[in-house]
This record gives sequence, structure tokens and C-alpha cells, in this order.
Amino acid sequence: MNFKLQIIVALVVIFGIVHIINSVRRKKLEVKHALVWFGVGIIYLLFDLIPRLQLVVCRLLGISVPQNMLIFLAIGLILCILYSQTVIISKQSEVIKRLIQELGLLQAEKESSDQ
Amino acid sequence: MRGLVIIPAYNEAEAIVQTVHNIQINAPDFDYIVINDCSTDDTKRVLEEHQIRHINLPVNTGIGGAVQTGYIYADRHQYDCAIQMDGDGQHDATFLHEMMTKLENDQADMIIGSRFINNEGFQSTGLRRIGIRYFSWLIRHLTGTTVTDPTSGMRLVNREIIHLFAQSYPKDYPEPESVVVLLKKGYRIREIPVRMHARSSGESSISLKKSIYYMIKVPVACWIAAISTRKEKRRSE
Repeated sequence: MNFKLQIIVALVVIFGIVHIINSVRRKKLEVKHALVWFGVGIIYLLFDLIPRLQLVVCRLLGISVPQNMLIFLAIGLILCILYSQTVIISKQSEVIKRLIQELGLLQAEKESSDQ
Repeated sequence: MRGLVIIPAYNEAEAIVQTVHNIQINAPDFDYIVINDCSTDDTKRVLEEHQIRHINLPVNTGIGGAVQTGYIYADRHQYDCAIQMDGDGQHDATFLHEMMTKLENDQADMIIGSRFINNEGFQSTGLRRIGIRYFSWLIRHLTGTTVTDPTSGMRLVNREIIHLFAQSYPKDYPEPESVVVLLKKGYRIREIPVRMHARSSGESSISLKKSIYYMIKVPVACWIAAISTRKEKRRSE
């Protein structure tokens, strides 16, 4: 990776992290869900600023080209985040269902006591 | 025994009055409640006009969510048993007392009204019957118990199961999965022969596209339920 690309990646990642911090500050994003994105940002920064690290991980995983390792890693991270989001969606749909049911029951109870 | 009939209804404006009428005539000692799952047709107006006791859900939750609302209602009002009957007029209330007697006599936890014991009445379409037979085989394989009509929506349950279903009930296509859960927990399920009618109006909620999802989702759900449910009750069969 050449120096120019290194700078660009670092800037993008730092911009991203700042954006996430701002989102949390403006209550658009919960800290709980921001953590995983901070993690991703930090991993990318580490690989970007310490090119030696890329080679070490490459050798560990038996991948010959660092670029391939980065893409492999990126896809892995994306899958992890995506999975955690499906879990959150499932939980939310259960909670929403309960709320709908309670609202219906409450309304029926109110109407029958009004009569 | 205080019994409640739970009638989930989604766009059943044409059939719902007849369904309720059928219960009032054939099983007058049962209370009933219609769960209007945010129908887009006239169901709500029809229910109000005929003063049929009902709950309107503000958002559509699907069959599982609607039926579960009924179980929550039954649980809070401390009914001794509850039966689920479809709002489209397929189920016949004349069998309610027979089911109730069987629930008490056999000390069962759930009585399923089965189309496939005497093979009388509306038998569903050919393709669906193959699916039902497949689920029946699957449940026997997973639990060791034969249930001839695991997709039947006509199911009477006792207080304990009401409480259980109020806490957790599958969202879509809930019948076979909940049968597996109950059997694995050690509850007793019995069946009696019933006659069902073809739908008097409206369309089945299971279209061709959905049935593909159905045939994949239900076996996976049954299998996961089978490996994750622990036995809770010890009973001599």
C-alpha cells in the first residue's frame, strides 16, 4: 500500500469515527450499537497505520496478498454486524408485537368499561 | 369450566357473523372473542354493528400474534379452557362440547379437531394434504407421537397451555411448531374427528408463494423446537 492511499484511508476512517461520535452526541445512535462501528474503525486504522501488521496476519491466515486479506476481513466484519442487526430486528419485532397486543387489549377493556 | 372461543379474523367481514352465530347456537355456554387483526375491509364495522365482542389490533400482526392476543385475554380473565376457531367459517362449533368432554376425561392438555381420523367433511386440497401428511410424519419422527392433523387451527387447550401460549407463541404458521413444543415438554395431546367446511368466503392466507416459505419454515421451526425444548412435565402415558 502506498503512502497516498494510507493517508486517504486514515482520513476516511477518522472522518467516519467522528461522524459516529456526532451521531451518538445527537442521540441518533445508541452507544451500545456504536461500539461495533468503533471497533471496525479501529481495526482499519491499525492495519492502515501499521502495514507490517497486514503481513503478519497474512502469514497467520496463509493468504499471500494483503489486499485479499483485507477484503476477506471486511466481509467477515460486515457479516458479523449484519447478523447482530438481524438479532436486533427479531427482538424488536417481538417487542412490537407485544405492544400491539397490549394496545388492542387495553382499548377493548376501555371500551367495555365505558359502556 | 369456563371456556373461551378465540376467533382470529383478518378481512372476514362476510363470514364472521355466521361464525359467531354458529358458536352462539351450538355452544352457547362458551364465551367468544374475535381478534380483528387490523382488517382492511369492513370487519370492524360488522363487528360493532352486530355487537360482537372483539379486540381491534391497531397494526396487523399475523395469525400467530392475533391468536396469542386471545390467549393473553383468556389468561387474564382466568378461563379454564380456550379454543381457537378460524373466522372464515371452516370450523364447526358443534364439536366444542365433545372436545371439552375429551379434555376432561382424558386429562389432556390439548384436544385437536382432526379432519383425518374419519376423513369426513372438507379434506383440503391434494397438495396441502401431502404437506399435512409430511408434517404428521415429521412430528412423529421428532416426538414419537402421532398427530394426524398437525395444521388444524381448531384446538382446545386447558389453563396451563393458555398461560404458556400467552407467554410465547410462534408468529406465523404456529400450529405444527406449537404441537412439537407441547409434546416435547411432556404435555398430553389428543385428537377427535371433526368435519370442517370449505371456506365460505375470502381467500386462504396460504397462497402458492407463501406455501414454499411454509414448507421450509415449518420443518425448520419444528426441528429447532424439538432440539431446544426440555421436558417439564412427567406423565405416565
